[in-house]
Amino acid sequence: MRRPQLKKKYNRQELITAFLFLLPMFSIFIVFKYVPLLDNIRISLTSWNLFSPTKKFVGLQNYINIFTSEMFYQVLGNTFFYTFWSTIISLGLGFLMAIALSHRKSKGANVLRTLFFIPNITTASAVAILWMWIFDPDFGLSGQLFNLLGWESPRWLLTPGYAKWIIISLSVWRSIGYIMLIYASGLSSISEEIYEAARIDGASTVQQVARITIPLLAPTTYFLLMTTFIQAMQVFDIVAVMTGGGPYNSTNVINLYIYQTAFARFRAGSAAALSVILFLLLLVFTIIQRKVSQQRGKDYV
Amino acid sequence: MSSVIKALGALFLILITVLVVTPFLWMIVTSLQPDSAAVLSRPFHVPFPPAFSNYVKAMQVEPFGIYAVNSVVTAVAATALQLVTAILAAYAFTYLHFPGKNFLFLLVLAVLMMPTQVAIIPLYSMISKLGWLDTFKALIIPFAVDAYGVFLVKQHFQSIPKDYVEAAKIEGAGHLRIAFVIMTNLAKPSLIAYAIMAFKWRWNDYFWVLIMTSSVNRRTLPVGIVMMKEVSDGGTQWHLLMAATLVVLAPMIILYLSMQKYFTQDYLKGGVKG
Repeated sequence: MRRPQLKKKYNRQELITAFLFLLPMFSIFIVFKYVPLLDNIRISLTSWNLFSPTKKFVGLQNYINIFTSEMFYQVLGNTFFYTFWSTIISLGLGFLMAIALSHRKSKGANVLRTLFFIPNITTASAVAILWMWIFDPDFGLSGQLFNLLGWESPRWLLTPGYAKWIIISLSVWRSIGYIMLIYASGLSSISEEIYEAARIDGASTVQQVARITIPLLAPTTYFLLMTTFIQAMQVFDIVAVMTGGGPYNSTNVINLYIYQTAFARFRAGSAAALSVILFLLLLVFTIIQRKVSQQRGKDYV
Repeated sequence: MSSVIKALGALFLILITVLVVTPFLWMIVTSLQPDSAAVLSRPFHVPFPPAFSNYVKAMQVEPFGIYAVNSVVTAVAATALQLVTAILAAYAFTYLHFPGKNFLFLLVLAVLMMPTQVAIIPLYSMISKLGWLDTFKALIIPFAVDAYGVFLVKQHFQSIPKDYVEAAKIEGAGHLRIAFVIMTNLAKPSLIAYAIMAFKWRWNDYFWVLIMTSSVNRRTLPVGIVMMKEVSDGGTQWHLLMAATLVVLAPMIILYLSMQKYFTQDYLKGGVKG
């Protein structure tokens, strides 16, 4: 980490201190981040069952298998379906919540702000179990409500068309509070004078939101769009617990598919190749985000 | 604001409140039912007297207690280590002069783009080779540092005037003392906020624990609660399972309600972490 030849301007003792202070962090990053990431690329070029001491080099065969398998495109499609809709719905609702609460200073409004954020801190796997109970078609909340109406509840998590939306609903439930919070801080930075001027010009509330709020919040929206999107691409917990990717793989997502390929089918080489593909996808989105954020001069992470 | 719009806004807020609260209410009502039969026959009826004993029963179901202890041990240990490593690294990046500083910091930022999931196969194989599978080491050491935390703490250290460090140096304080006593005190609110975020991240983690543990002795609550559901499949005791779920969710909710400003503070800096 230190260059052998020290320049005069560096103090020897300070260099040793810096080395020692950075050592814990970099040793862990090297062992658990940099090396595994590179090792993963190597494994992706082999055929391996996760346990045997030898790995057979197969070149790009794993990638060829992946890109020619229908399953991969189905899983990729599911992942984007989930990512797209949970991002769009969360952002839409969170934005409206921030607007609806923006001029309310009462105690009740503060209680709502606190309340709406609670789902965001819940343990995903535990609320996934709660969701299964809510959507239990026989005795869960859904089953009981349909019963009261004299109808039969759909078998939500066993029906491909419904299961993905049940999963999205949990994702939305957990994230709207966070989105609202970020939008609220964006809203508070817009000067009241701009609205004042618009009102004098006769602009209606809807016009004010459409012409002032939405354009001025564009950087916030962009930031939320990208971070929520990147986050959602990596969904695992709620899908693994609620459906395990079923029915008929209709809810299977990349991360779960990687997990199943490696730890249930023991095709570690294929799973590593899938991980490389996921990494590259995330990398592309992250780089786009950084580039645009920098251009806008925003200090977002 | 016109009154129609205002009424629509209020209506919308009521709707969202119902959507946010209903799952919690459903969980609580179920968790207070005296037995499985009541869960099925009178689901909306808040039983009297409510069966608060379910929470005790749920915690006594083997091995819920072990899961809880494991959760606390791993989350607290990882959080404490993350604070130490982040303060050390952030101090070095902010106040010490050494060659290659920018490049090394870029290496830290690069970690932000490497979520655990994208290298889980080599990580599993390495943890296995180290003999760490199903140990606390596997649940703590890889999380003893977090790049996002280093980034955050560095940002806060940078906002503290350098005069403090210079003054402390003149008084003869060493770097360790400056970092852990002076800077830590000055950056206390942001460090608490970061500690809470780190704790939440470890407390809620499912993926890593699922893969790296195989026995009840090392599983944490997020994995344990799912196991409790799976072993009971077919005849799920929903009142006990919901009581257990509530017990899993409660610590974070209590922490949030009692330290709300720290939760929201960090988020406003623009970070997301599952």
